[in-house]
Amino acid sequence: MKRPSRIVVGYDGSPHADGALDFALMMADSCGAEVLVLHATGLLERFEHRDVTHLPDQVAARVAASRVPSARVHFAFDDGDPCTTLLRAAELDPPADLLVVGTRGHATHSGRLLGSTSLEVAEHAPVPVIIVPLEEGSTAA
Amino acid sequence: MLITHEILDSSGHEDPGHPERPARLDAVWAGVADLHLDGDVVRVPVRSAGRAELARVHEPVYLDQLGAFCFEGGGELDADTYATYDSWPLAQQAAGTGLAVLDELHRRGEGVGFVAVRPPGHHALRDRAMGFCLINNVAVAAAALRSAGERVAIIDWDVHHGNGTQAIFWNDPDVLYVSAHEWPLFPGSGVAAEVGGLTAVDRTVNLPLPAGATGDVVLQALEEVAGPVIDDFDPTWTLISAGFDGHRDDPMADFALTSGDYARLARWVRGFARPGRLAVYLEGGYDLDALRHSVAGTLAELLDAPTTLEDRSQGGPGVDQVARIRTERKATLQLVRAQAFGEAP
Ligand SMILES: [Zn+2]
Repeated sequence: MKRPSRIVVGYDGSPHADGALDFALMMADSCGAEVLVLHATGLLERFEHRDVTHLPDQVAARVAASRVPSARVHFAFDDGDPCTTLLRAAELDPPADLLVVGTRGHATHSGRLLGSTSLEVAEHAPVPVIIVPLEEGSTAA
Repeated sequence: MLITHEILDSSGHEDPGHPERPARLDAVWAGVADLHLDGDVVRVPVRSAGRAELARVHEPVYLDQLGAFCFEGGGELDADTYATYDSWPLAQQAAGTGLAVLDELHRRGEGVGFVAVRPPGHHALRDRAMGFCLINNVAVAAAALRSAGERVAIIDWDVHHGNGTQAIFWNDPDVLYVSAHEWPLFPGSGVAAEVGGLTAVDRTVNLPLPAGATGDVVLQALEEVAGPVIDDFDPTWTLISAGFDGHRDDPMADFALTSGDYARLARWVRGFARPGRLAVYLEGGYDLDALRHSVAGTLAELLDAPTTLEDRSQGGPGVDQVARIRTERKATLQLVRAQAFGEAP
């Protein structure tokens, strides 16, 4: 297996997602990979009930605090469910060779049995998936 | 004759500011009242679906966890989807009432079924709540018919792709799933190349159409692409997964449909559905006036009731897309059949 050259990280702005992003940046730094930060646009965002215009800045701030040059990190919105959009990103041209997700995003449930996006991605992904737990000390929204 | 049900009090399933709200059902029933059907309406009691009925389409462990989650007070299931203490009993009632209406239709052998419940269902997967949906009501109904030996066509004209329904019946050759939806849009699935699993090739028809699509284009896609598949399948029952969020006034998406268009789509369904074996299940629809008029338009067409309709929309984008869908389906079907039956592509 070759070193990852293109990492896709699922991002919803939650502390879980920040943890996943930081991990993806660390990986990118160590192997020189590009990073695509992907935000899945859900139903409520379309309804403008949930404002996500701050997300690119939130990502840029974390990239600036990392050792990865900002030119190697891209941000994209994709209409859909987080699982569907991540799996589709894995098949982009060029395809991703590593997916990184947090254990859960905004959901308040434990995720495990009510159907977790991260586990579903791991089950169906054609490439390796890293699931990053929330670091001790940080608090979920 | 309209075969429907007593009004479901869904006030316990609410999240302040969330568009999937109890007032939606008030708008729907106002649309029914607009038709002045008087004695031509049968209302069966609301009932809860049993565990075995739900477990035909959902993982038992998911049902347990969802019930427990609600019992503990609920919360957010994902960025879009909420549940409250009352959501679990309401979701059971929503699915069960859909079955009660089918039973009444079956008993009478005539009429048009109409199920106006919430939360909606078509995004709900076997093991995951999603897109405002907890239990997949239309799938529970289709699975009940299927277990009685019927061949069921589900026509999903909600503006969003019904990914849950598609996934549940992906490998079932006795359920045909047809969806016309805006694309790209949540949930991101529903491209033309999704044609069904290896044991149900050509039992899924996806018609992804661009923002701005008008009624003539949606109808053309359904008639030209789905029509021949439906004729070939020859369903014994037809269920409409009827979301009205493709209405031009709906804030959730960008189709340009009107109540007149929904009536026209209903006429198309009526053309192949067997008499007394057609039921309409509410999915989305978030502008209350649009919802009211679209429900009235749909039922007026199915029941031959007079009503005033908005003009049908036409001339929107997507005509060229219909040709592309046909080409893409054909190519995919050849590939999948080769894979499934070892034929040379
Ligand atoms: Zn919808």
